[in-house]
Amino acid sequence: MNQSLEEIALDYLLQQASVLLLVVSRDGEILRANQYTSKILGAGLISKNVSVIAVGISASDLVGLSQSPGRTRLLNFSAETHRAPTMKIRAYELDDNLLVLGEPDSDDLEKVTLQLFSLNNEINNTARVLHKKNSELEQLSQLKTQFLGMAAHDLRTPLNAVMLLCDLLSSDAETPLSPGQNRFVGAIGQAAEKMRVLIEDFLNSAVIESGNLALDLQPVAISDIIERVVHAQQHLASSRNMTLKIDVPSDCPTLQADPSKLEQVLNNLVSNAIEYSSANSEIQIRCSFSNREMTVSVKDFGQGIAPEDLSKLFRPFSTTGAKKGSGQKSTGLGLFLSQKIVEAHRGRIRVESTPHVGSTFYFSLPYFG
Amino acid sequence: MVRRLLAENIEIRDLYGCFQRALYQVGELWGQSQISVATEHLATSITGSMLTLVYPKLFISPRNGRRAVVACVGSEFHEIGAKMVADTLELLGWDAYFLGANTPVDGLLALLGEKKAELLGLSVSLDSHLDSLCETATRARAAYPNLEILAGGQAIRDAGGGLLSIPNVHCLGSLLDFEAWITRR
Repeated sequence: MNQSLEEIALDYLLQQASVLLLVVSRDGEILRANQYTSKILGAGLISKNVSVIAVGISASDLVGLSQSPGRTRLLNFSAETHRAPTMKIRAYELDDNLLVLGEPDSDDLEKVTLQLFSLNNEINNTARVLHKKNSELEQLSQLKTQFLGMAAHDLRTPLNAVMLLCDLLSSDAETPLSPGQNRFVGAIGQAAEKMRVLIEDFLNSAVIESGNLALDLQPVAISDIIERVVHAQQHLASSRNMTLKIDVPSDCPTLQADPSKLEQVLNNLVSNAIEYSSANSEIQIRCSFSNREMTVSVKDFGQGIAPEDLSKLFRPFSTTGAKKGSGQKSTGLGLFLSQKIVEAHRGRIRVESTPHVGSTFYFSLPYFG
Repeated sequence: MVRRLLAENIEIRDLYGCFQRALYQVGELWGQSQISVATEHLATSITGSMLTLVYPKLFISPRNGRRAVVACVGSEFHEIGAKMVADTLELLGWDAYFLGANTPVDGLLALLGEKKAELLGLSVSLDSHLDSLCETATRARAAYPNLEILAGGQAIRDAGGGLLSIPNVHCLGSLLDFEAWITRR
């Protein structure tokens, strides 16, 4: 049957209207639904029973509602669909069927608005608290860095005096020490040297954390640095019957770097490798280069690092379950400092490790040939 | 726009002055039924979100060791003004503990003691909450005789600002008045 222009217009308006519109038979079958209803309650409503649209509604309820024109009933659709809030529905008799109209309940909308408003306030307030806490933590961190720097600086002067006096005592030809006294003075000197290294780490850490790490960049041959480090660590390696093996290509390019800082990084990696390796094993120090990047690796065959410890290796003052061969405790600063120095050179440092097999530390630096 | 102004290093007090004037205008429009509650809440929420953009610049002033608690009274939901007062205190080096809307008085009194605050700022936007303000101020004064208590917000401004007389309370009509008052302490 052809529709009149009025019917077409009415149908269009009903389809577009932002109200819930259903035509339901008297026994509850949904015959028609407009687009808004399908959007709110989901597609596929036609032929279903009206009880699917909300908990607690039936055909007889709608018939009852249609017999009291103007009476409304609140239905909460959200529990079913998670899409719509409460709606106020009315029903009217339409030939042999029922016309059901529904609109969002304005009180309910206001409640939702208020809830959203409160939620937004809460989020903003939480952001405020987090910013304040963050600022307090930053200030504490700065204070800690300043304290560390001052304490380390003030400790260094008397420690230098202790080391100097130890040297004078053991080298004084006019009043030579007995063998026992010499042993004690040697022990004092060794302890003082360990303390000096520790203080230097603290000072370096304070400098780096304050953002004042300055590099003295100059052309550097990595082979020279590796040789110096191996020479310096040879005594420690020999005491544990370990071999330091170097593998550096003869055509290694020159780097633009701070030689003393690079030496500090490599010294730290090699001394760690010796400390955490099994006695009688080998430490391999290799250098390779490609694509304008030079990589130095230090490989040991020792206890390795547990996977859960890998992520905290480069954090300041962090320690792992690994034990040094010398029994000394780690300060947890060496790898942190190494990472910061490498990053200051626009390089990167990383580690690969297998527990009970060994670890390889790599640092890569850009070079400009 | 706020991001741009912050990047151009606008004075935060000037920015807050703009927010304050805009919110008063929104409040007046709502009072004249020209905008709905939902629109008023939307404007307030947007302003609240704008304030979060300021936070990275807010908490960096050197601390002066003084502490304040700032809260809204009664069932007051309009907390932006109170937050701007707390932020102004932070800018001046105070540690300002901001309590959101609907703060229970018992919790407020407990926090005043815990933080050893020397100043309590109370915000009230609607006239209907002035009774709650008086009650909160009276209880705070009874618990902490040396506490400075001040009140602000649209209800105070509409009632005459500094001319309004509430026992135990300094009333201030604007953020500028507040800043002038606090810098004299």
